[in-house]
Formats: sequence, structure tokens, C-alpha cells
Amino acid sequence: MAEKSGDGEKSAFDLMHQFDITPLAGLENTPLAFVTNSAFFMVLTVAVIAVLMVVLTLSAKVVPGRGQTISEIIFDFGFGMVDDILGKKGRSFVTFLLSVFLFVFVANILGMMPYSFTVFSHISLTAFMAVVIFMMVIYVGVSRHGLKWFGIFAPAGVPGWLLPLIVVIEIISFFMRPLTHSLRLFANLTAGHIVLKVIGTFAAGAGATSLLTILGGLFLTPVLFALSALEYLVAYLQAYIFTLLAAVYLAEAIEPHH
Amino acid sequence: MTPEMFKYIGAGLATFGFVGSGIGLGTIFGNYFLAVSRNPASAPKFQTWLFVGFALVEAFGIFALLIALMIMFVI
Repeated sequence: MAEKSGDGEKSAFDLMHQFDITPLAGLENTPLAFVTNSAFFMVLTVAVIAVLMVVLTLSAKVVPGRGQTISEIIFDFGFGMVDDILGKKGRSFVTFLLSVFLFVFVANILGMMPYSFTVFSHISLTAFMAVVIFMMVIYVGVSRHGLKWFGIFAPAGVPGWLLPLIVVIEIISFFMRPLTHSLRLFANLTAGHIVLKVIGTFAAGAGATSLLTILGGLFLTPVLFALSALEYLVAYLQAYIFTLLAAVYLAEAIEPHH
Repeated sequence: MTPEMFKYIGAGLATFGFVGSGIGLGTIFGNYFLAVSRNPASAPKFQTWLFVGFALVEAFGIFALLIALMIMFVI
């Protein structure tokens, strides 16, 4: 996508420019040029989570204070989701799934700030996380159930003459998982930010050339406000769905139904 | 008409896959609200699987988007 927004065509309507990965300002021709905006925002995300968690639980007591209550709400959220889908057997995955959720969620929220960079608008990162989860599912399944685990490709109760077809379909849908898992997060964030950019460019750049464009800008500003609120919802919802699907895939590895 | 134009037309046509995804999402959320309005106490029980169903239905829309992206940027 980057070649569509090359330096040659920098117009006011350059929608893809916000997704370019460039070295941080001031580091372009130094040995530190590998510190790109994407890398910086990933590190910033981890730092925000780590500092927040340490500060909130600095004075942990039996009767929680204000900060500790917030961190307990976050942990209860993780435990609630894991208990719903994985059951008590899946308690060992709470830390992993909660880390994934917090990383995606905080990265998305940071990406909503003006002049920041949305790290999950790049399919390389979402695909990396989805493939790691995919390989983890296979590892957990095989290590807990042995080669019998591959029986998930042959669901119980299917008539014998239909079985070859079902097995092929199941295998294809199994290998499509990392694809949809990563594309959902990437597509939602990219599309949302492009829409924000389009409306924002219209609202700001319609210009005071005539009464009509002024009215258009005045009308579009509340629309932009509402769309930003929607984007915050998407930031949370997509982080939740990404984690939820990871949990659902892990549930099949822990307790296969065949 | 240059081949480049047909590429854009094809990418636009590929997004028609979202029609099915939209119908499916409407069915899922509509039925969820129907169920919850009949039995409000059941809302938390359905909520997790509501989002799993939402994600699975959306996957087919994403396949259509993938085809559109491939037409635009890969081929």
C-alpha cells in the first residue's frame, strides 16, 4: 500500500500517508534509523501498560484502594473471559490472553491520538501475532492429546460417505484462521482511520471559499466527533474480538470435541 | 478503457461480498436483541458467543476485502 502514497503525490488527500513507517524525526541518517515510529509506539504501548500496572498495584492491600480496584477490574475481565470459554482448565492461559488484549487495546487507543501511529494498521504485525497464536494452538493440542488431537478435522456424527469432503473443508477452514484473525484487526483499524482522515480533510479543507463550504465544514465537525467516538469503540471491540478468538481457538486445543 | 480501469472496477465489484456479511451480522444482532428482550437475564450468557458469531460472519466479508486488496495491489 505504501507505494500508492509515495513522496511524489503529497496532496491534501493523501489518505495512506498516515500509515507510512519512517524513522523517528531526527534519526533519519544516524545509526539509530531502525527506531521507526512503529517500533517506538510498540515500545511505548508496553511501557504504558507496565508503568500503569506497577503504579496501580504499588500499595496492594487486602482491602483495595482506588488504583488497586482498577487493576482488579482488568484482571477480573481476563479471568471472566477465560472462564467463559476455556473453563477452569484454561486458567494457565489468563496471563497470555490478558497480555494480548492489553497490548492490542492500548496500542489502538494510543493510535487514536492525533499525530500518533497506529501499529496495528500494518498486516505484518497482526499476521505475526495471529501466526504465533495459530502455532501455539497446534503445540498445545499436540502436547496435551498427542496425534489423536488431529481428530478435530473429523467431527463426530458425520455419515461415512460425507467424511472425506468434511475433512477437506475442516482442514481448509483451520488453515484460514490466521488469515481472517489477522485481517480483521488490520482491516478494521485501517478502514476506520481512512474514514476519519476523509471526513477530517473535508471538514478542515472544505475551506471558507463560499457560504456552502463553511456550512459543510460546520456540519461535518460533529460527524467527525461521532466517528472518533465510534473509532474508540472499534479499538476496544477489535482488541476484545482478537483475544476472544485466540481463546476460542485455544479451547479447541485444550478440549477437542470429536 | 485501459486494463487499469478494469482493475478498479473489479476491486469495486469484489466488495459486494460485504452484502452477505452485512445480512449475516444483522441476523445475529437482531436475534440477540430478540432473545435478550424476551429474557433479559440471559444477556451475559449470550454475549461472549454473540461476539464469536460476529467474528465468524465477518470473516466472509474479510475474504471479499482480501480479494479486493489483491486485485488492487498484488496482481
